[in-house]
Amino acid sequence: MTAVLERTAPPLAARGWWAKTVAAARYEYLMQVRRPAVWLVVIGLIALRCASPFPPGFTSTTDHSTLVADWAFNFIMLCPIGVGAVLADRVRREARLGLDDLLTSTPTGIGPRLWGKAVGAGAASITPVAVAWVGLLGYLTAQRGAGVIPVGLAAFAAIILPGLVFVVACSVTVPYLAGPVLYRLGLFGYWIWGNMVGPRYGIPTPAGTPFEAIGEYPSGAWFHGVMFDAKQRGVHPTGGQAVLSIAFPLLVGLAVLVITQFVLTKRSPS
Amino acid sequence: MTAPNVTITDLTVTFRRGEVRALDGISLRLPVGMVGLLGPNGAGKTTFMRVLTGVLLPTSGSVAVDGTELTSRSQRREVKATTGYLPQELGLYPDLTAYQFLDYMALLKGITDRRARRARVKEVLELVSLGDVANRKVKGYSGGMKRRVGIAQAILNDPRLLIVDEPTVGLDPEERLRFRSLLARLAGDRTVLLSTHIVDDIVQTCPNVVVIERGHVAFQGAIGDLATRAEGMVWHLTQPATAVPPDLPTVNVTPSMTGTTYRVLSSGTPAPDAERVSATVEDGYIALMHDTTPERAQHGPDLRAV
Amino acid sequence: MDVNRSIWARLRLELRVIGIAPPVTALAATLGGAILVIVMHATGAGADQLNLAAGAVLAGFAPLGTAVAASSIVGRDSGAELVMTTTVYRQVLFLRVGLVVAPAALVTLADAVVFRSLNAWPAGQGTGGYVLVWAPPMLWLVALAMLIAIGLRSPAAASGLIAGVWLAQYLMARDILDNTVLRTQFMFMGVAAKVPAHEWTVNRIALPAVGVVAVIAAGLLLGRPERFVGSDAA
Repeated sequence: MTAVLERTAPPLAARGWWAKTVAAARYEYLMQVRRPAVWLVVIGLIALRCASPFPPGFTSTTDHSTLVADWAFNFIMLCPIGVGAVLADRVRREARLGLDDLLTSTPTGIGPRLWGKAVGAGAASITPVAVAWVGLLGYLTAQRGAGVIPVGLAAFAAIILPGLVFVVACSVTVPYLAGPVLYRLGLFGYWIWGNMVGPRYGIPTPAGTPFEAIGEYPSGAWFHGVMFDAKQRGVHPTGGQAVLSIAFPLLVGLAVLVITQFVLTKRSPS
Repeated sequence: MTAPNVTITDLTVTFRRGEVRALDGISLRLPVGMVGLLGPNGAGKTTFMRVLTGVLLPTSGSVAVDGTELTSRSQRREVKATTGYLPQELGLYPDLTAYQFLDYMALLKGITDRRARRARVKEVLELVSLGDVANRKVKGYSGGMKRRVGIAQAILNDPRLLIVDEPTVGLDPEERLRFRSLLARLAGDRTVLLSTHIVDDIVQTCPNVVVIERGHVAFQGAIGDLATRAEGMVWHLTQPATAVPPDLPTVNVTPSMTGTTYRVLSSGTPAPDAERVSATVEDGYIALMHDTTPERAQHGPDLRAV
Repeated sequence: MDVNRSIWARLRLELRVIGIAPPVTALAATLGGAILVIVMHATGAGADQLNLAAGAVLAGFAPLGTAVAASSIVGRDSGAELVMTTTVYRQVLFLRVGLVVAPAALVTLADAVVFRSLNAWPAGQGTGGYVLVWAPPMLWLVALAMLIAIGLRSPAAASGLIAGVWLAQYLMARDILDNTVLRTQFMFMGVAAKVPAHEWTVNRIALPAVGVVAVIAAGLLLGRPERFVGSDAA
């Protein structure tokens, strides 16, 4: 009988964790970045806040660091809610599309798919933020010269990105437990409580501490950006505190992903 | 490549804390080539296939592929690397093109070398006649085209064991023929387990058949032996259209101008004007469904290699 | 009797279709807020803080939770095509939204009564506040969420944008209040401080008016229900 398929060496199941994760990330990115909702929501929220940016008058400062830091603060105020909202329903998407059995029948476990989703779909959801930020830097460069660019990129990495990465990690994991609807509300509640409801309201909150995700500490310590809740606590953040403020959300995000992978792997036969 | 030795021993799957016994002590060995898996809706065919593909863990019993039991995760992954599966409920990512979807599935199946993967994806796309539309998003595909994407992904890794669950559902007659012919060609030196409740699909392609009913193996053997079960028991009985249908296992009902012709099973002559006809596989299957016990099935003839 | 039974049966079944998540989300916001205010009262929080918290729950969290829950019903109906063959889909969708909004509204009303009894009450509000503090914002936000969800076929977009609008109103309150037009759409009017009666009246009329317009627009979009049949939501 003639062979129907050209014979190749059979694939080995155990190999290629990294390649599979990269593949999953690549395709999750592709599928997420194409969604109109991702761009509408994320850029819509950035535009909403930046329509009347805070603090008033900061755009006339001559200090490039302060300028980009305060813009970054305005970016990070609202857009994480949008990033989380558009990611929350990716979590159980395979079950909804009827792909669970097919994917479970492959020799690839939950790990590459979960990390691929976190990296790929997460990067796709952050892409509009990055594009908007690049657009802003372009505008500021035209106004102030190319000196804005390096400090602008650093501000993105230090002030905006850690909080977004934290939200991404939570948004591809917590909805497994809570479902996307309750998660979105919970994310909103956390974002306000954890980053905006400062000590002036008399309730315990991480807002204004190095454990908030809104990037206030790096902004204050390295870029002379506006301080709000930290200022209310009488804090002048140091470089070490800024590093802690970046590391904490990243580590929590990592922990959440690892725990979720462990739990899902235990439950899955694959 | 040789087909795998697939042995199922006393396989039991229960749900809802034992309330539902989807599979109840199934034991059999799959031969090389096309094997049909027949049974009514809810018999346990899909559950059986999900266990074979490692998607579902059995409650008790074992499945061994070339001696490797599917007990540990790593063993299941080793077996999955050489298994292809087309599930009954086929889900696809609607926003990906067929090419992208197959590329992704190929990677998940362990084909990490880019050149080899590209070549394989193109090859299977041509095989299922989707080469021309490979760069169109799957959400724009017809049902038949989506099924073809499904079979394409199942054969990406050149599987030794190919499991297809109701593959021709929703296909037009031409596509069904094409599917059958493709599966038959693929069965050369593989084991292809074809699950369906459409008897004709089995008759056309499978020399061996397993019948599952209510979680038990009701029959296992050559397709001809299934037909033999009804030999001498098949009758054509024509009645006026308004008459009450005969109270006998009915294989087929054909209305006509002169009345309604019933193809029925009966050990004795059901009516003076009934015409005895020779039995088909479908007759044997219906006879089995109406007159079988688990004890009889386990002592049935073994599946023989063809 | 049979008619009543069939109405109850229909409502029960629609609730089964909706699932547990939307009603739980809506109630979580309003009940959770109530628990917060009660705990604050029990732990001796100051009057200003209590009043602010009560206002935030009634005018803010309850409408937001309800709006997020309501928008999640859109675009997640695997039986939409079959339902469309039997009845007007618009009616079914609005019924389902109503089944989520109604209990949340009742619980929010109960919250208002409890808050008033604890003297945790938005500044300057009279008995009209039992309904007027929360109902116009709730209608407004739910209507906007529905319009976005239906227009974009995306509950994700709706909940993200609605949450953003809520937060923007909170953060940019001063700018909004300084603008004559935007002021009429301010959800938290009268929560933090007493406002002139005419401003209050205009706001409490304009909010639900815009909400009604949004509902009508959503209804018009639902005139093409075939948009909801088929692929994954946007």
